[in-house]
Amino acid sequence: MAAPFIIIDGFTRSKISNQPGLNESVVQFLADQDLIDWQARADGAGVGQGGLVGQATGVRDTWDKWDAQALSWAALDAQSKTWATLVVVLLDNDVGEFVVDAGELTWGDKVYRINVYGKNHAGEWTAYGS
Amino acid sequence: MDHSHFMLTLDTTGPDIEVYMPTYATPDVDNEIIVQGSELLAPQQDFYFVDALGERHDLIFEYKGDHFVGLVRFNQFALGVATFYAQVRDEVFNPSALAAQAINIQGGATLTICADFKQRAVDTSYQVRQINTAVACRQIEVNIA
Repeated sequence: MAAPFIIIDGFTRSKISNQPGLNESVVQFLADQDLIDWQARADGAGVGQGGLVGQATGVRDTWDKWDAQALSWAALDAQSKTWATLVVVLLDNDVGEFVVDAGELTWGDKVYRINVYGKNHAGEWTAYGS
Repeated sequence: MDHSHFMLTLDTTGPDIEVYMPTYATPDVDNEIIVQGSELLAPQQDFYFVDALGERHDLIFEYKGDHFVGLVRFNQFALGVATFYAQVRDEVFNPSALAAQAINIQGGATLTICADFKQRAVDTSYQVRQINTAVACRQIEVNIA
């Protein structure tokens, strides 16, 4: 299985400041396959590198994470879903969204490269620059 | 081709601005004033004069992206030194410092000036009736009646 291919679908601002109403950019992206985790980073050159500016919520790709979320059996709904569908946090071609706030860009005034990485069922992350 | 990223600029500092205007004027001519920013500016502006008697005169200039241009006639101003104040914001609304520049408004002499905005000072006296000059020429012809 190839690593997920991510496309930035749009963003509300390419320049932000600390001024009210202009201090964040809302970013939308698409993936070419189901994702079980994703994250967005300012600068860095690979997943886990750079400043974290967005991430999937409710990631549950291990039983430990299920336990940590203390979900009820009803929420788990294990009888009608398979493990493969339960762990998905962003479906193929669904729009993922995160907000970059000026306070998250911690290296001062400059141009930041915002990278989005997705993780598929096989545990492969989107490569930097793909 | 790399689709998984985009470039985002963080700009938390205000623009530097410069004011281009004459240092002397008379009440009955239009004077061009340019407020030049160091980057793209927002259309929001705060321009005003305080004349020699302390009266405030608010102005609205034409927005030109990285600068503002205005034509000002001082016929409602008290004679003497007036001060121009300017503050603008950049495209992400960071405010500039408040710039201030003085102009001496004199009566009695009729002055016709054709100059570009780099002209900083014009020397005159009450004996001068007319000055003909050109943008590309620094030579001044003076006819004393």
